[in-house]
Amino acid sequence: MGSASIRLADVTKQYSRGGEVAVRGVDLEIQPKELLVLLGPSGSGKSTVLNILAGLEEPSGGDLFFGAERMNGIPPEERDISMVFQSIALYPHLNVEENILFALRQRKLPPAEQQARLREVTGLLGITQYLRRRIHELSGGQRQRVAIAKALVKRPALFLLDEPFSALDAKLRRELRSELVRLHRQLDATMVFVTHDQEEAMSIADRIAVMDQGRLVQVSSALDLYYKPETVWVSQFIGAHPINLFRAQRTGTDWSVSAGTSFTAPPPLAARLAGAEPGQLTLGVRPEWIQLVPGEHPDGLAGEIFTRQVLGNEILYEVKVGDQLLNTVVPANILLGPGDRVTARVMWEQVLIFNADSGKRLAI
Amino acid sequence: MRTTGKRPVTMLLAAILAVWTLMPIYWILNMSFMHNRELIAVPTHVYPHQPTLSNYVRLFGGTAAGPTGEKLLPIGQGPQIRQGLVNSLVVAAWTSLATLLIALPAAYCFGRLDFRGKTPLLFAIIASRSYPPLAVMIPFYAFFQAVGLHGTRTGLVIINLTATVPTVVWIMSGYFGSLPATLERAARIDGLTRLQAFTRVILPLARPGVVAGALLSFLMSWNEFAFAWVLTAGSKAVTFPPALSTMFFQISWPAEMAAASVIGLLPAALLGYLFQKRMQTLNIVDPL
Repeated sequence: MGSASIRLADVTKQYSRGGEVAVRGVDLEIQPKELLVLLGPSGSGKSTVLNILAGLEEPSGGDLFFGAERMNGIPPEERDISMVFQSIALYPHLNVEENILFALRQRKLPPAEQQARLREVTGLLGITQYLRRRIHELSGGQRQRVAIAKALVKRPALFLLDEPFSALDAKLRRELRSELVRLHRQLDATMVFVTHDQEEAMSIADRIAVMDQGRLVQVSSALDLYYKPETVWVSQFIGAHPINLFRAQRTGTDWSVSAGTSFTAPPPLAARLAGAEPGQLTLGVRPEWIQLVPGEHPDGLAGEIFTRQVLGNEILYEVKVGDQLLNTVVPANILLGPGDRVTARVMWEQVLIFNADSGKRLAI
Repeated sequence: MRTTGKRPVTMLLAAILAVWTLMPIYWILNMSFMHNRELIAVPTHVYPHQPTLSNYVRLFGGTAAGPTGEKLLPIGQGPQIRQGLVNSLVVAAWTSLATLLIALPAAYCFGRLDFRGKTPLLFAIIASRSYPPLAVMIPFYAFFQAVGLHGTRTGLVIINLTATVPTVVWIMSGYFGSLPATLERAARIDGLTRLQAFTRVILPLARPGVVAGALLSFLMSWNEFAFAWVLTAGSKAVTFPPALSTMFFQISWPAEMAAASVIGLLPAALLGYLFQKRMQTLNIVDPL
C-alpha cells in the first residue's frame, strides 16, 4: 500500500476545443507516504489536477502513472483511491456506519474485517457514538470526520482531499488539520490535499505544489516556499501578512533603492547586489524583517505609524514612509500609536531579490 | 415559520377552496347512498335520509331490498363496469412501470450529463406534449388496426406512454439535476460504476420524485378517456372511463351511476393517500 510514486507527466486539461485551458503541462511526482498540498488561488487548476488523479476527469494531454502503470482512461472505480470533498459527499439516505462501510461492502470484504476496520477508524476520529445517526443529524465538523473515516477505511494507495475543511469555522479547521497530520503520521498514507489557504498548506504539508493559471509554479517545502520563493508572485501569495516590495536600480557604481524614499543601498545589501547584472530589481521584504524603533534615527527609514493591528504576541503596523506604506510585524511590547514617529530598520541580509522583468528570484 | 396560516382571511380563502373542490365529490357520494326515489325528492336532500348500500351491492351483481321492501335486481351494466376496473388497473400499473423504466434513465441523462444536442432533444420530447392528443387519434387507430393492437390493453399502454414518458422525463430531469454532483463523484470513488451510482445512490435519493412520477403516470393512465373510448369501447379491453361512459348512454338511474363513479374515484384516492407519506422530500444534506 502506498509504496509506488505517482507521476503526472506534462498533463494538460482543456475542457472543450478552443475553450479555457485549466491545466497546462504539469509535471509532478508524488512520493510514497507524502502529504503533498496543491495550493493556488481559485481557478489555478489545482482541483482539476486532483480530479485527474481521481479519474473523475481525463487529461486532454500528457500521462498519469501510478507506479509503472499508466492510468489514463482508467475509471475512478478501478483506481485504488479515496477522496474527501468540500461538501455533501455522504449519502443522506444512509446512516454513518452505512456510509463509512459503503465502499467495503461494495468490495464484498468479509463482515468481520469490515467491523474491525470500522472500529479502528471511528476510534481514530472519535465518532464511535454517532454510528446510527443520519447524516443530517450531524454538525459540519462531525460530517467531515465521517467523510475522513470513510476515506481511511478503504486503506487506499492514495488519499485525495479537496478543500475538506474550507466550509468549517476557523477553530474547527485548525483542530481537524492537526488531526489529519497525526493520522498521516500514524497511517503512513500518501495524501494529496487541495487548498487555496496558504496558511493551511504551510501547516500540514510535507511539500507544497503551488499552482497559478494552470501552471505549476513551485514545488518545495513550506519553509523554502517562504524563504526561497522562486517568483515575486509566490512571495506575495505565501505569508500571512503581505510582503513589502521595493524597487532597486543601478546608478553608476551604486544601487539605489526606492521604498517610499530613495536612498543608496546600505552596505549589507550593496554587498549582495555587487554580483548582480545591471537592471531593474524588485526587493521582497517580509513584514517581520523590519524592526521598528521609536523616534528618528539616522540608520533606517524615517516614517510614522499609520495603522495598528494587534495580533496577540505581535502587532502589525502600517508605517508611512514617504508615499509608501510598509507592513511591519513586531513583538507586542513595542506599542505605538498612529502618528508616532518611528525608524524602520530593514534586515537587508534577509531581503529577497528578484529580477523585476522576469519576476524570478536571484540566488544572491 | 410565520403563522400566516392562522390569519382569518387565509383561513376563509382556504375554506372556500376546500368547499369548491370537495363539494362535487361529496355530492356524488351523497347520491350514491340514496335510493332513486330519494334522489328526486323536493327539496333536495343534502344527506341521505335513508342511507343504503344497495347501489354498490347491485353494481357488483347482488340483489338488494328497495325502500318499500321490494326486491331490486343487479344493475345490468355491472359486468362492464367491473371489467373496466380490472382493465384500468392493469393498464395503469403497466403504464407506470414502463414509464419509470424508460423515463428515469432518460431523465438522468438529461439532468446530469452533457452531450451534443441535449437541449433540442429535451425540447423535442416535451414538445410531443404540446399538440392535442386527438390529432394523432386517426393515425394511431389505423396503425393499431393494421398491427392488431386495436382493442388490446397493450395498445392502450403504448398510447399512454406517449403522454407519460415525456411528462416524467421533464419532471425527473430537473429533479436529478438538482441532486448534488459531489454525491455521484463520491460513489464513483467508492467503487461504483456509473450505472451502479445511478441505481444505488441517485435513485434512492430521488425516491420522492420517482414515487411522484409513478403516481402521475398511474393517474394519467387511469383518467385517459379519448383513446380508450376509440380503441377499447365494446371490446374485452375496455377500461373504466369508457365503461362508465357507456353506462351513461344506456338507460341508467343517477344513483347507480353515482355509485359507479365513486368506485372509479377510489383507487386513485387510495393510491394518492398511501404515497403521500413517501413523497415527503428526503432531507438532502446541506453543505454547511
